[in-house]
Amino acid sequence: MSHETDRRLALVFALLTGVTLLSWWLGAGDDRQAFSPDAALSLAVILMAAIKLRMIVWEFMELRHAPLRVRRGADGFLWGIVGVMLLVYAFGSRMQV
Amino acid sequence: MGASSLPLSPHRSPSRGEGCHGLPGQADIWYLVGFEALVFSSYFVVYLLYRSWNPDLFLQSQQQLNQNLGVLNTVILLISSWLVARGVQAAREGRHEAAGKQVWMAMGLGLLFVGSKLLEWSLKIQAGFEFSTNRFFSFYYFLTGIHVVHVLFGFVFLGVVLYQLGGPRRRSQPVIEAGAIFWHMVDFLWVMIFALLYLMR
Repeated sequence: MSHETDRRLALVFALLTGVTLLSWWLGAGDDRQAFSPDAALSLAVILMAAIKLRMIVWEFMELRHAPLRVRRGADGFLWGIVGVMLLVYAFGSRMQV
Repeated sequence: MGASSLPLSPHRSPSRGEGCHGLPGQADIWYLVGFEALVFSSYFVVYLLYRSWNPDLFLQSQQQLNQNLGVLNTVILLISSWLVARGVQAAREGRHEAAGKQVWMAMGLGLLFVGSKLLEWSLKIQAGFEFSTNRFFSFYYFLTGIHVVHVLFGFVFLGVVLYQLGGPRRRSQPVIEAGAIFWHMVDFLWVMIFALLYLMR
């Protein structure tokens, strides 16, 4: 395997696993104490998931080689949905019918 | 991430299986990925809406899940995605036997993932948490269940990849890449499901 690609894929995998362990430590760090609502933690966990998701799409699925408009579309879609999810998390209780 | 700061026309190896759209794999697989992303996004938004209407119930129920098993699931799928990405690269360089080995290992990890989900479901059901227990558990079984169905579809895609790697006459780099792209999609869908069901508060 070309050395450069091999190293890049290994680095991406290490980063993905590192962020996973970080979000685990944040999300499960209190070791089964009573769960309480935590907006900052939820924001961090969702943003870290979005960053991981983008790394998988860009690096493993190789979207980074796609034309600029495709990459812009994918980024717009991802961050648009993340924005909607965070808005619903924050203000969903006011949308009750 | 820095990916967007890369040059606009990156170096492309001639053997990368690009279709006429300049995308890796085939355009069709990207339509499928876009469709699935849209469908799962709507599930996630509906989940968050219900969650915001009854945060206490969701928090109490989330506490019944095993976060450690969730993180193990995530790492299993990340390793399998890494192996598939290495396999695609090996196939591109003409090392088809090595590529086949990586894909077999990735499928093994996929099987381990499905096994761990079956174990998790049976433990939850034994503990009295069923689909109809409450709204959180309905979402939990629905999201993890539909995701496992996608893992099973992923086995079909990787099976096609293995078949293609097996003989020189049936090899098509775009098809191999398309199968890999589906497997990575299964991985990134789990990444978001893990965050929403197991980690957020």
